[in-house]
Amino acid sequence: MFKSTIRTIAQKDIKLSIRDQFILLATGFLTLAALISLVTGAIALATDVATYEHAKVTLLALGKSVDQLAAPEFYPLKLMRGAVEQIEIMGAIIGILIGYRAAIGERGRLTLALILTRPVTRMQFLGGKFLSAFVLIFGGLALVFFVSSLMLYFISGVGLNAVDYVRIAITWFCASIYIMVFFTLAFGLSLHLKTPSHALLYSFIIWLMVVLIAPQIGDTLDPDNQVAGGVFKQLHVPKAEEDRIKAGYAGFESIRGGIEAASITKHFERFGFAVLGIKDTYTGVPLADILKEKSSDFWWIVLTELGLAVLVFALPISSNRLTKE
Amino acid sequence: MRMTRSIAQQSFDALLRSQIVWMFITIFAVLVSVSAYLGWSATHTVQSIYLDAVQYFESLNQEPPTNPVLQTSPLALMRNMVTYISLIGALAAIIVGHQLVANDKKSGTIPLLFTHPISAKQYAFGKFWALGKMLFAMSLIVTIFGGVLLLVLPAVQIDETRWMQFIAFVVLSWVYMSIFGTLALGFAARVESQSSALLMPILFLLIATFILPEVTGNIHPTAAINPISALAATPNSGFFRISSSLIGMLSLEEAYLYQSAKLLDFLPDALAYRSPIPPIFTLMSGLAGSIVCAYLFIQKMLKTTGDFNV
Repeated sequence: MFKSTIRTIAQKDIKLSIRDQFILLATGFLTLAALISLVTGAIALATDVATYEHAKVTLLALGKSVDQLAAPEFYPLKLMRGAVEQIEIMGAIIGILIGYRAAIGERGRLTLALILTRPVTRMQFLGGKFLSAFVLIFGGLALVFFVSSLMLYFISGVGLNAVDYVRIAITWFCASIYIMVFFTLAFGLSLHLKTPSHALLYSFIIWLMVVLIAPQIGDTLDPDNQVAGGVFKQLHVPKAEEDRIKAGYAGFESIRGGIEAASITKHFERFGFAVLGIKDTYTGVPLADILKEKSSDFWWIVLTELGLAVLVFALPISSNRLTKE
Repeated sequence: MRMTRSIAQQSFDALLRSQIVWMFITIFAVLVSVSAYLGWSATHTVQSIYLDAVQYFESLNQEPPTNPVLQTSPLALMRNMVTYISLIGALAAIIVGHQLVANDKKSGTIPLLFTHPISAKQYAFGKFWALGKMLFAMSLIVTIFGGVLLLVLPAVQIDETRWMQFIAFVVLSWVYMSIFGTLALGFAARVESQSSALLMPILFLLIATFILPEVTGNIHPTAAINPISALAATPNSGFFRISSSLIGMLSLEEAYLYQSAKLLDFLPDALAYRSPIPPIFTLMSGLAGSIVCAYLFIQKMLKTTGDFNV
C-alpha cells in the first residue's frame, strides 16, 4: 500500500510532464546544447589538426625537423567537455524547473489539499515526488548522454571501448545526482514559501551563486589567469622558483580553493572532467585510480543531495501553504 | 504625456516597495563591489608576485622583466564587472521588467486601469520609463563602486579620456540590461502563465550567454563567464567564419563583452570582432527590437482579465 501510493503519485507526475511536453522540451533543449558543444569542439579540433599538418608539411619541405611541433592529441571523450559544462549550467536549471513544477502544480490546482485529505502520509507524497523526479532526471540525462555518445562515434569515426562507456555511465550517474540537488532545493522552497514564484527566484539566485559566481570568483582569484599566458610564464620564472613563490601565498590559495570548494558545480566539474579524461592530468589514467582520487568530489555531491532531501522530508507541510498564495 | 508620467511614477514606486526587487538589487550591488575588490586583489597579488620575482632576478644579477601590472590599463581592474552585469545585472533587469506588469496583473489593476481613458501606448511607455529609471539607478551603483575603486587605488591615475570611457561603459551596461528588462516586460504582458513569462526572457539570456558564443567561436560555457577567456580569437575554420558572420550579429552578450573590453582597455591586441556588424549596432538593434516586441505584446495584452492563469 505504502509503495503503491508512492508509485501512483510518481506515475501521475511523470505522465503530466510527458503530456504537457515540458520534459520533452527540456531534455530536447539540453540535448541540443550538448550536441552543439560536441560539434563545435570537433570542428575546432579538426582545425587544429589541419594547422598541424600544414605546419608539418612546410617544415619538412624546408628540410627541418618536426620534433618541436606538438601534435594535437585526439581522445574522443575530451570532446564532451562542452556537453558536461552545458549540463552543469542548463541541467541545473532544468532541475530547478522540475522541482518548482512538482510543487506549484499541486498548490496551483489545489490538489495538494485534496491529496492530504486522503490516507496519504507526507512521506508517501514526498516519496512519490522524489521518485518521479528521479525517473525524469535520470531518464532525461540518459537520453542526452546516449545521443552525445552516438554523435561522438560519428564525429570521431573512432569506436568507444567498453571502459569509455563505463566512464560515460559514471558521469551520467553523477550528473543525475547533481541535478537532483537543484530539484530538491527548488521543490523544498516552492512547497514551503508563501509565494511560489519567489521560490523560483530564490532558486535562480542560488543557481547563479553556486553554478556561476563562486567558480568564477575562484577562477578570477588565480593570479595566473590575470595575465595572458600566465604570470609566471610571462616573468620567465623557473618552476622551482615559481613553487617557492606560490608557497608564500598558501593562505590566499586556501581562500581561493575554499570558495571553489563551496560550489557543488565545481565538484561535479572536477569529477566529470577527471573520469572522462578531459583534464590533461587524467587523460589515459586508469579509471580505478581516478575514482579513488575523486571520490571526495562524488561524495560531496551525494551528501549535499542527502542533506537537502532529509530537510525537505523533515519539514512539515504547513496548512497555510496548501494553495498557491 | 501626463498619464504616461503617472503610470511611470506609480510603477516605479511599486518597484521600490517590492522586496524581491530590493533583494536582486542588493545582490547586484554586492557583486559589483565584489568585482571591484577582485580587481584590486588580483592586481595586488600579481604585483606582489612580481616583487618576489624581482628579488630572485636581482639575486642572480639578472635584469628583471617588465611589471605585467604596468602593461594593463587601470580601467581593466573592472573587467569582472562585465561578467556580473551580464549575468546578475541582466537577471535583475528581467525581474524588474517582469514585476512591472506582473504586479498589475496579480493585483487585478489592469481591467480597472483600462476602464479609464488610457491607451495601451501610454501604458507601455509608462512602463518603459519606469524600467529605464530603475536600471539607471542600478547603473549608478556601478558608477559609484567603479569610481571609488579608481579613486582609492594609489597607483592608479585616471585621465579625462579614461573617465569618459568608464562612463561610456556604464551607459553600455544600461543598454544591455534594458534589452532583457524590456523583453521580460513584454512577456509578462503577453504570456498567460507567470512562470513561463519569467522563464522566457531567462531562456533568451541563457542562449545569448552560453550557446551563441559556442557556435560563433567555440567558447565553452564556463569560459564564456570569464572576461579574459571569452575574448579568444575565432578558430581559423570555414564553419566558424560563416557562423560568426551570420550568427555573430545576434550574439548580444558577445557584443556587450567586446565593446566593454574595448572601453575598459582589456581587449587583446588585434582581436577583431567576430561579426561584420559592429557590436554597438547589435546592441542598439537588440534594444530597439525588444522595445518593439514589448510594445506589440502590451497592445495584444488581454485588458479585461486580471491575474495570470498559473
